[in-house]
Amino acid sequence: MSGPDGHRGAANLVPVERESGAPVVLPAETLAWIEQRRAMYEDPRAAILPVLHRVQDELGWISLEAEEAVAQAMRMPLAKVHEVVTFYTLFKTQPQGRIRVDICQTMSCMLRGARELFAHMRDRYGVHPGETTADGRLTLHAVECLCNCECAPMAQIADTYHGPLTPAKLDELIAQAQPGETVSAAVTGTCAAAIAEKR
Amino acid sequence: MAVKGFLSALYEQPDMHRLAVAQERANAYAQARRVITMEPAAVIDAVKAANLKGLGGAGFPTGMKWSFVPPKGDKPHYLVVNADEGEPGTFKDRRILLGCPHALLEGIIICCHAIRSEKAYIYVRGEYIHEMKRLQGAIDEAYAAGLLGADHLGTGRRLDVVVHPGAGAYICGEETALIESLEGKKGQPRNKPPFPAIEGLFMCPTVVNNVETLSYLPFLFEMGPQAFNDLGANGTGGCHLVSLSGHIERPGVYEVPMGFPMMELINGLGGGVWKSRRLKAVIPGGLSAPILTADEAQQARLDFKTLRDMGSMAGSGAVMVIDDETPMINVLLNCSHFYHDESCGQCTPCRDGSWWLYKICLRIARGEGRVRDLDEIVRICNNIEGNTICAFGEATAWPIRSYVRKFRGELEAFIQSGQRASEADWYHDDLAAPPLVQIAGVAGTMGAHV
Ligand SMILES: Cc1cc2nc3c(=O)[nH]c(=O)nc-3n(C[C@H](O)[C@H](O)[C@H](O)COP(=O)(O)O)c2cc1C
Ligand code: FES
Repeated sequence: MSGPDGHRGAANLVPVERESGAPVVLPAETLAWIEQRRAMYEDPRAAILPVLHRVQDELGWISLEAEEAVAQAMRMPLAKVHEVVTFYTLFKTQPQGRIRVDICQTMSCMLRGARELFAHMRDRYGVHPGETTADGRLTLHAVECLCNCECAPMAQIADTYHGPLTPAKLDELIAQAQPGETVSAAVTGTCAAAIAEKR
Repeated sequence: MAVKGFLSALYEQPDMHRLAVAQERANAYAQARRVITMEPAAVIDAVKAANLKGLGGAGFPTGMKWSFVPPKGDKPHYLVVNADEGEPGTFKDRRILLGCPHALLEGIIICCHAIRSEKAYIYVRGEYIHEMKRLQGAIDEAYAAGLLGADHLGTGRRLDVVVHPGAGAYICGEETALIESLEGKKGQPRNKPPFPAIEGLFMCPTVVNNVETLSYLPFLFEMGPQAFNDLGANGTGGCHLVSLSGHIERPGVYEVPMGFPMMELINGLGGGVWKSRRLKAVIPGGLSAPILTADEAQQARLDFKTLRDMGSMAGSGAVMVIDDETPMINVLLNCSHFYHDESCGQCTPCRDGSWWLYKICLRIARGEGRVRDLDEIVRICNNIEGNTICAFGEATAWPIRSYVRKFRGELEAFIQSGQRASEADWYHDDLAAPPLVQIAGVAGTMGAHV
């Protein structure tokens, strides 16, 4: 996140609308997941990244109200939660479209034509990086190397890496895209239960 | 030279991520069973003798790193697996995570035995959703089979393995930033000393190793340290996975012994520069590595010593090929943008330096540069280098300075022509602070703006 000062978090100095308007109440199932996750670490606060992923997977983005709910569930000061949320680019502090389209802009993708993909997103869908289409279906982000450079130019569409891409291929993938797998589901497994049982 | 595959022989087989398949076809966990009966000190000696070096970027001798962990006291010891793969150009750890996660888990068991650890955390970059799912599936199978968990492998000890998702920050690949991040904080590197081996995760002795480094351990013990060492060259044992990308006919991951000739990789395995073009330059070890000209590439070999002697580095084994139709200004601008974007903001030389570098490169790309800007770039690089808490500073300064030094004539001619680079239009104008509303419009993007 580059802001005017050119470093992480600077964008948050700008007064942008971050409140969703309604308090966030985390469902019992989510709170139970959070407790299980906390038990996996010697210091329960270490669960903050997976917990924020889970909350974002459920709400679509992390509003200030969501941060408050997480702070409560994690027994952490709100400021510490806020600090984490604003440091990491995968946590979105604005509402997002249902489908994520993250196009890589780093060296190997640039060398093999990433700009053509950004131009196509602008011309066909009317979105620049950071913007959501008017119908709320997709949000485009320009991201740094996703480490799939062998498929350059590439993008992560919903949960999946795709490449090499052409504008036509991009259209096809966007048309078919479904939200898909989430981070929190991917890291939920039996070892959590095994560790919890030990305690 | 044809190479016998080790890790590649595993991940290229279908279903190798399943425990039953890995055990039946690749004898998975056989070495772990044997190693856990050895004295930990003997395990470390074997890894030292094999000359296994860290494949995450720094090339630090693995056995030596393990030997820094103090004797077991009151504090638990931890293994933290660096699966935050983020160095631009690198895509080999995900091959292992997807294709042969049991090789990694076996390596984890071996390492944890050597450093007397009962817990390993695997920090996976947050974008790797399918990779995490694969890995978690393999871990679940390993728990069910008694390879992990209470009394794992009948040792009478526990071994727990937790998959931890990152959340999008290149700096979290740096081992102390990774530890901070894993502890639930911003990913900002720590001052060293103390090194993680003494005070790492939760202030306890910790070893941080890359996915690939650990995944070679079963092979090391299967063939023996001497044979492993003999596979490699120039002070490093074994093979490594080279990620080949950019202007190449056959991009992909190639498993080659240490010391493999660069041109054999590019023209042989990689099928040559794409579109029958000529080679202009090669980035030999991830974006952080100083660039090699086409002439230099002729002599280059892929190992830590050779590339260091040439003034570059083997880094993460990521080779990016650049053809002769690529204007160097585009490479310079793209690289400066990356580091400006990813600086964690903790150290002033890096935070402000990377910003100035980007601003100057953007000005040049827009046809508004002056020849003395090139000297300014070198001066800023010289002031970042050595003056930051972590090696991100060098990762910024080294490649950018190398582009300017090695392609100075081309860059000067570009500046004097007053042309505008094709890439210039794609970067957000933050030369002057834009009005607030405009910033708000791009908040949350990575800075590129049309
Ligand atoms: C800016 C920066 C980024 C890094 N990124 C990674 C990375 O993505 N993956 C990795 O394994 N090591 C990365 N490293 C290297 C780690 O700090 C560390 O040396 C490595 O994980 C140790 O494991 P190894 O000895 O097995 O290589 C990075 C280092 C720096 C300075
Ligand atoms: S440069 Fe685009 S995936 Fe690596």
